[in-house]
Amino acid sequence: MNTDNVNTLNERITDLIQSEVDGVLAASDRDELKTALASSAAARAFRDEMLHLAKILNGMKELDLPAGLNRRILDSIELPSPRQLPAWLRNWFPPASYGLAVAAGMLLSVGVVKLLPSTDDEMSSLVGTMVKHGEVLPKASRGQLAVDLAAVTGSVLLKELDGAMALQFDLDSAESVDIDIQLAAAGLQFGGFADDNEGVSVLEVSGGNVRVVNQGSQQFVLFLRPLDGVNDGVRDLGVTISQDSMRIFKGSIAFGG
Amino acid sequence: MNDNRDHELINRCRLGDRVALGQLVKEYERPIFNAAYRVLGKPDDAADVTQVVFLKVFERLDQYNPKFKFFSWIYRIAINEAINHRNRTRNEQTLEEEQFVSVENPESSLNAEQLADFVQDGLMKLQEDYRVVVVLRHFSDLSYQDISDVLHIPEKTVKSRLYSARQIMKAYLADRGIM
Repeated sequence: MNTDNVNTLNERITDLIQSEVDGVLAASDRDELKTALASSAAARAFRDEMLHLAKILNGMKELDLPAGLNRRILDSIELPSPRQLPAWLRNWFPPASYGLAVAAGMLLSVGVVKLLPSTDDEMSSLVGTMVKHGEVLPKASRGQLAVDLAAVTGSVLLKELDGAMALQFDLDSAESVDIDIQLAAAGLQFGGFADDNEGVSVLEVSGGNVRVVNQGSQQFVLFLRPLDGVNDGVRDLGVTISQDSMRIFKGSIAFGG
Repeated sequence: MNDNRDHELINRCRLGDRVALGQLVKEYERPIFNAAYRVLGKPDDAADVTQVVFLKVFERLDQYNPKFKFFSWIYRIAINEAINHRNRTRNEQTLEEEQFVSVENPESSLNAEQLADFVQDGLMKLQEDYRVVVVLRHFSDLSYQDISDVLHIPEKTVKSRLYSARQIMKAYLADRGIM
C-alpha cells in the first residue's frame, strides 16, 4: 500500500485498526471496523501491513542477559543503611543455605535457670512461661521481649516499617539454645533472614514456625510478612526458647492494630 | 509484574534485606536490559545502562512512592538512562549505523538473525520518542496506559507516536523487501 492510500483513511479508521493490532479494540467498535474493512481496500491493506509489522516486531527474540551482569548489579548496590536495625547487620544469607545445617544433637545440658522479677506493665503481652528450675517472670512489652535468664539474656524486638516487619534477636547464651517463633499463629510468614557474621547452627522453616539453634552472641533478624487474608487487628507473636529439650522461656510480642 | 509483591520486596530492601534485593533484580534485570538494548542497539551499552538503572533505583529507594507501580518507575529510569547514554555517545554511533543502511534482502531469504538486524536497524532510524514507544509496546509488552505512565505523556500521544513510528518502520522494512 502506498502513502496515498494511507492518507485516504480517516483517523478514526486507523485508530480502530491500531487498537485491533494492539489487542485493545472495544467490543462496541468491532462492527464499525468490520464495516470499514468491508468497504475500503485501503483499510484492509493498512490493517494487513500493521498486523504484519506487529508480527515481525513481537516475534523478535529476547536477548539473554550477558554473563556476569546479575553479579555486577548486585555487587554494585549498597542498600540504604538499615533503618531501625543495629550497626552489626552486615552479612545477609538466603534461608536455603541453612536448610540442612548442624543437627539438633549439639544441644547441651541446661543449667539452673532463674529469672529476674518484672513489673505488671511489663507482663502485659506475655502469654505464659515455663522453666526447669526457678521462678519465671520474664520481661515483655508491646513490640519487644526482654529475656533475662541465667542461661540466656538479651532482647527480641519486632520492628514494623511500611508494612514490612523485622524480628530482631540480640541474645547471648553460653550454651546452645533452641528458639522457636510461631509465625503462622500470628498471621505471619517467613520472608528472609539476616545474621551478623558467623551464621547460626540451624535455621529451619516449617509448618508456619521458624526454628533457630545457636549459642554465644546471637544477633540475627527474621524478615516477616503477613499471610494472605489476615486482618490487621492486634496479634501476638509467640517466641519460645528451649535448652536441652526443655522449654525455658515462653513469651509473646503484641503487634498490629 | 506483581505490584503487591514488588512493594513487599521494596519494603524489605528498605530494611536492608539483600535477599529481597536479589529477587527484585532478578525480576527486572532481563526486561530492563532488553528495553535498553532496543533503545541503544548495543548489548554492551545496554548492560552498562542496566547496571546504572539498578544503582539509581536503589539509591533513590526512599523517593519511590508506593502509590505508583514500581515497574513504571524503573522503566522510566531505564528509558531516561538509555536516552542519556545514547546522547553521550551519539557521534561515535552515527558512523556505525550508516554502515547498515545499504544492506538489502527480501524477508523470505533472511534468517532470523538477519531479520533481527534489520528490525534493530530500523528502530535506530526512528527518532527517540518514536523508538521508545515501539520498544515499550512491542518489546516490553506494555499497554497504552502503562506506556503513558512510564513516559508521563497522554495515552493519545502514545497512540499518535506509535502510529507514526509504525509508518516509518513499515517503510524502512518495505524498502528492504521485508514487507
